[in-house]
Amino acid sequence: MPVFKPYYTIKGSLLAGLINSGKPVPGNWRLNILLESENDLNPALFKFIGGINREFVFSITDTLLKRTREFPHLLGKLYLLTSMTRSLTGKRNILVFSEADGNPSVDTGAIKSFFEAQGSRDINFPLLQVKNPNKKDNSTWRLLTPGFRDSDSSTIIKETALTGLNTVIYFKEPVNDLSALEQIDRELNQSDKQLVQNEAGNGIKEREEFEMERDLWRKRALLYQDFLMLSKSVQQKEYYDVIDWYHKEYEALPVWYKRLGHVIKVLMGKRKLKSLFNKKPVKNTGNR
Amino acid sequence: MENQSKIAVLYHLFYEDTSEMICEELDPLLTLNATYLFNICSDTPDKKQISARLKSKFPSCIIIDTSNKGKDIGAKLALIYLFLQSELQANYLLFLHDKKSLQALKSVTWKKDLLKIISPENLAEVLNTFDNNENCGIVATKEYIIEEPLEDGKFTGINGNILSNLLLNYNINLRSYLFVAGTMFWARAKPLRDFFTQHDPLKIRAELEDGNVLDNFSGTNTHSWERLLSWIITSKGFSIKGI
Repeated sequence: MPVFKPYYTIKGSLLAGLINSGKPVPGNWRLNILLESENDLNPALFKFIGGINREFVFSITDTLLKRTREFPHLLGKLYLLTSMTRSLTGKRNILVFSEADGNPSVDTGAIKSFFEAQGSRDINFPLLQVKNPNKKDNSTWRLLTPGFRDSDSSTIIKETALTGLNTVIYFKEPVNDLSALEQIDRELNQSDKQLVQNEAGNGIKEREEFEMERDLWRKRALLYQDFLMLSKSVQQKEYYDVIDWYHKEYEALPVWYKRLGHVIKVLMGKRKLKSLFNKKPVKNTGNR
Repeated sequence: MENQSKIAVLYHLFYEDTSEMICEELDPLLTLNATYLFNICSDTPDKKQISARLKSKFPSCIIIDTSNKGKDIGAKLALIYLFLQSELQANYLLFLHDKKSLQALKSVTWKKDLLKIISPENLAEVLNTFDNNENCGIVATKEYIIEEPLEDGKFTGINGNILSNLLLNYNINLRSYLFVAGTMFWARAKPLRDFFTQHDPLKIRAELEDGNVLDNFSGTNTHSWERLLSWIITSKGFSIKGI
């Protein structure tokens, strides 16, 4: 039976510290890497992400998002990150974290243009508002902001059970000790009765994956159809190239020259003398 | 080879049924302790299974998935970008992809020939060639090292105009017109790293054609960059060795 697993938010800077110190990231919980500055997008992060098997997403602050217009080199790094973090069946997401009150303006134009130029048009930007976590946009992503020190796993379980599919946990206080986080996750896993993902949520995910795969297979079938048509055109071109060559290089030669050629063939043993006097055209049976 | 750990394999997968074969193809390289970077095309179904199979065979590999842009050339540019951004250390890069060329008559032979460069009987020769010849920049299958046609100093092939512009824009001064057709080859990493540090591979990728583009009927950026991937190296004075 599928169990509910939230994504725990860890700041990129904390992750970088762990990676640089050579310490492993404990536990096997789902990870949301929060990027707050361009320095968070560093080689160690790419190597770390490339090497892990756990499920993860990444998010950027709305402040960093604004800087993508000033610093275009960030765009390539974000593109690389999304190409590494995609669930391989789901859509691409860049979660946007905002600490602003009210309705923050989120300018995703620069990222969208860059991604489109790379051929990726299926990028989504679910907005997660730290000060207003209950506010829902059209995505399936939800934010929970429990207290870290005073919260116990039962509080988180209770809240996450209500939210459904993709829940991101962002503790109110800065998380500096991942072993404490690991403890919470362990307790969550032990409380399996309450961790059972609601069936509706699970159904949505399965349907989304199924539909995406079905679309890919449909596209693939069309592609193979295209290949058949294309191979016909390519082979037709090759055929006419050979015919053209024959007409230009051989057929244009004078008759006496061609006849001399046949005599030479006989002398070389490639043709029988008798065949020169045979008036019936020689049929090409295709057997060689 | 000077240091067995300094090889990076950049492999692009487009087809849904090739991952098992790829794992077998790469068997001879396992003793070399190489770094494996894979790109799976976004259009490819069954990516989860493909990815799981690759991870199981090459646990430390890095897998990305990118759109079908510039075919294997676009994928290799994305992999070069990943290689640079991750600051991976490698003296030699090996470019491969799951070529099928379904439209072509000789496709089976093409793939078989191109993979000579990683066959167990040729691998030692490839590695010795780089070790013993500092001027060698590329090792590829002999039959696929071809020369771009030229007449009176002008390219006469179908990609001629695009090639002239690219060489001018990227300030590449050719010493040879030889290139590796099929883009499966071993390359010295330094000239490629130098070039792509200066010229963003993703910006170049953005200029490539979408989908399964062919140059049978007209010139393309994609097929022009197929030539440039060799010429970036040979223009720095390195040679191509055929096996």
